[in-house]
Amino acid sequence: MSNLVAFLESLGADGRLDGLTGADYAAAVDQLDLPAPVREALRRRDVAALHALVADAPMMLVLVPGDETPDDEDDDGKDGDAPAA
Amino acid sequence: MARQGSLSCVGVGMVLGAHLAPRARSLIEQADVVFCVVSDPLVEQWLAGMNADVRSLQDCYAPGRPRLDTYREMQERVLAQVRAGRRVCLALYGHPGVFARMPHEAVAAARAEGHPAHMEPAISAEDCLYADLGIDPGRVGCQHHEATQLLLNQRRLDPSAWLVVWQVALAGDRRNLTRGTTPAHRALLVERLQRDYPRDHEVVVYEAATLAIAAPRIERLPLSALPEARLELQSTLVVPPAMPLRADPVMHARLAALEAGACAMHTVTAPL
Repeated sequence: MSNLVAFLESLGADGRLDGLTGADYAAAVDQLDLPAPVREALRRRDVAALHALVADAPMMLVLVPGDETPDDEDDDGKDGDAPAA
Repeated sequence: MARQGSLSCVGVGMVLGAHLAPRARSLIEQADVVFCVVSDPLVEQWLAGMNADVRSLQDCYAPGRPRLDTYREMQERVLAQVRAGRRVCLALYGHPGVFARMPHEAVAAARAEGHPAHMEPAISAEDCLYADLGIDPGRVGCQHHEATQLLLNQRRLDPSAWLVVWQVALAGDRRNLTRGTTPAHRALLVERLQRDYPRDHEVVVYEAATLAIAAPRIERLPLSALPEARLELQSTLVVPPAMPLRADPVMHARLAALEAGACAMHTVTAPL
């Protein structure tokens, strides 16, 4: 899949490529040495389909706790329990 | 003498290939080991092409596991390599220190143990939001709140400024688990927001693009429709101002008096 990553990197890095539309974009995708389903997902600009083809599971991306109550600092592994009424 | 380990926290930005700064890239390429938490499996593959030892921290997450446990494990894995005398790079999606608690704590812990540690700024989802939605936060102001923190605390919202609510899909998740909460939880968020905004006020569900082949998600809907809206972990709620700025006549008068006094003083002391 290194071709796929290289293609996406070039699209991200080069504003002219990012502006490719219609036939020019389809032609660029068709030139890639990639499995047909991956090319089809690229052609449709279908990120979900692309992820389904290249990843085993959805990725998590949450890096901050929802609340910073003092309980959060406990080391008992039960952070965020309901405060007493 | 053993080499001293170090820690660099970098952000790869939001869009693969578009946002990674040269300095951050060099830190990734020159590290002995790179740990990563990114938003897209293809971004992870992209990083793997920059360094021979890239280790994903995705396996620290688990269904039902409190996120605070996850963050502690991530930090411990990173610090273990720093203590072993290695140059460690921690690469995260977006900005490594915006809505990301673990990198700040990792830097502080590494420094406390005597290791050089620093954070590089990067392009965050917030930056993309301003560009994609055409918002200048300096125009009328912009408030940012984490959704659960907003629900659980008595915060003052200013409806004459923009409001951005992060992690809206996790609103009301008191146990900091990794799954999204329910429409009933989000109905409570709407109830809270209705103290300051009309029920039919137009809001925006926003998701930054992570690949250049896709557009950001910008979905406009009435506030009342939020509980049933499709929300992903990366969704952000953007609430436009609901009223114009209100002038403070007392402060206007005081500033006018101050300026008048300054003019008089200037007139008296000005050289001939």
